[in-house]
Amino acid sequence: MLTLLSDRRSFLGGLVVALGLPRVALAQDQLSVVATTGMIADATRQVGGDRVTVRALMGPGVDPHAYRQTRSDIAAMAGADLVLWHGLYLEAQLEEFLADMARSRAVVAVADTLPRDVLIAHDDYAGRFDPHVWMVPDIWALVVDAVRDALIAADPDGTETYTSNALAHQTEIAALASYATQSLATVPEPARVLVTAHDAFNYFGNAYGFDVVGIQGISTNSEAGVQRITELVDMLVSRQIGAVFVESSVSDRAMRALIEGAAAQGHEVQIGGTLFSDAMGEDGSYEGTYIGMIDHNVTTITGALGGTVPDRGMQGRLAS
Amino acid sequence: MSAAITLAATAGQAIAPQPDPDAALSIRGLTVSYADKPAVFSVDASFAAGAMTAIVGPNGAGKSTLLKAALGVIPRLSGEVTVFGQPLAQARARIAYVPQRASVDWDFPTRVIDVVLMGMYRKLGLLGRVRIAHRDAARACLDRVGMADFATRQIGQLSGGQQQRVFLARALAQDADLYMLDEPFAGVDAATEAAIIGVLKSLRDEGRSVIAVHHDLATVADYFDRVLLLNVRRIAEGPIDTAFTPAALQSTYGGRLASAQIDQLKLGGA
Repeated sequence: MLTLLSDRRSFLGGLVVALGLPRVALAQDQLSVVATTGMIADATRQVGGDRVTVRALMGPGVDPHAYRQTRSDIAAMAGADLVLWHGLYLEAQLEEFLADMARSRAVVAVADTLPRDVLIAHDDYAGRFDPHVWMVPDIWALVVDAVRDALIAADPDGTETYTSNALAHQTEIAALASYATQSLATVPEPARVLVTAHDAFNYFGNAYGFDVVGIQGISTNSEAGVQRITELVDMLVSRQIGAVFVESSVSDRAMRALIEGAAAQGHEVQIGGTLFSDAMGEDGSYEGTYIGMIDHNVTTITGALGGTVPDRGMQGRLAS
Repeated sequence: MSAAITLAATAGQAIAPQPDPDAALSIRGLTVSYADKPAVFSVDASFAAGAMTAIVGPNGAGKSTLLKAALGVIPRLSGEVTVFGQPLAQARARIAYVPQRASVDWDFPTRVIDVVLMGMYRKLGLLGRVRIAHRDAARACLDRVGMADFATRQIGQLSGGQQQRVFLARALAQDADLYMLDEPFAGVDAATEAAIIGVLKSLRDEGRSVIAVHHDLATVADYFDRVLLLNVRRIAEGPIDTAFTPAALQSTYGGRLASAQIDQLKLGGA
């Protein structure tokens, strides 16, 4: 019966091509998936291959913590076979809406499947966890398992495809994990401090032995803020940290105060580069894939903090 | 109406046996269906801890489906699954799963050792920094499957059987209590088959539990301690001696297995 069905399907596919009908007719056979973040959409494309069409709700540069659904998102999700979201309270403003969606279709929070002992507890909310797990390839590979399982559940006929593709993607991630470990280990030990705009790098710091300082929320107008900036400047100077990192979405006022403060003590600190934290690079670019995003971060951090790394990353594919 | 439902529910409870807390994997009333056609129907099975069990049956009998449904990879219509007496969600870290060998297009220069290291993260949790010690442990896993000399080779350069051994090494790196394998010997060379069965037996000898979907009837009695004969429903289950019998094979395979073929097999109860 199953064989008959797939024969008929490919026969019809042949007809469609022969008659020059629009590709849309074929697309109905594909599993339609909506993913909240670009990272999940990328994993879904890698694992789903030709069997799925994927739409990411949040494009490059979008902050998932604050994102709310738009009218066209609602339409996209209503037409989807499967909705994949991150979970772990990343899409804080979408949770209620996604819970509503789950009544009428398959909705899976892929990072919620992670074993609790790989998760970092949230600083501010008891019983919640830091959602930024994609920063460590080894953890993301476990999320790829969850994406695979969700696709298999929605489309069991594709089990073999999804299993092979997931394995292939996980070996790419394994190569990335190895590149990250080896590159970051070349950063001199005292310099293993990551000063960034917001607090997205705790998993990264934990995995690679970096102290992580997020300066979002430090006000340069309050006494406490000024005190904190002074402490950070002293740390930068005493540990001879040569670079801090920005994200395009977050104000760099505090960052400039740090750099100026260090300069006043005769220590030069540079902006080490822009890191991808909650979203990937432009669609269609290497940095617009998960592998490229992490390659960029690892390569940028290693280079700026005095480690040894190829200029254009693990595959020579980073934009120069 | 509601009285009838209550009655049915009570009757169902009375019939369904309780999960077996001593088993490595206990399945009660498992039904999985594809497009309204049951692939696995109302199966009860108890996979003994510290033993090697084969799941055996004809093509389309639901062997892989049963394994995946027990792992929660595909949804079950009904049924209860416990692993070492715990619900699946709590026991996930104790299970290592080796999927059927996949035909993968390896166009990425990943080294063998990196694939194995990846298996360690779940266990290492927040201490997951890759240190020298982890590398040594990963190499030891490769050594166990006879692939230590290939640690720095690219996975795409290996033969299918060698790749299968690397993925077994990745599962070993997870240091699990229950190993579940889907047709581990399908399409591999004799050296790989020997290496894999040696590793599985050593896992059993360490007190771990092994469950494998297996298609070669000729080796069931040599390789495994126990068997589950499956053809959508459970046909027989137990130690090779009592469950792997001509009568049970006849019910599992029906006319597809001639008596003459059965006569040639090494069976239980002989």
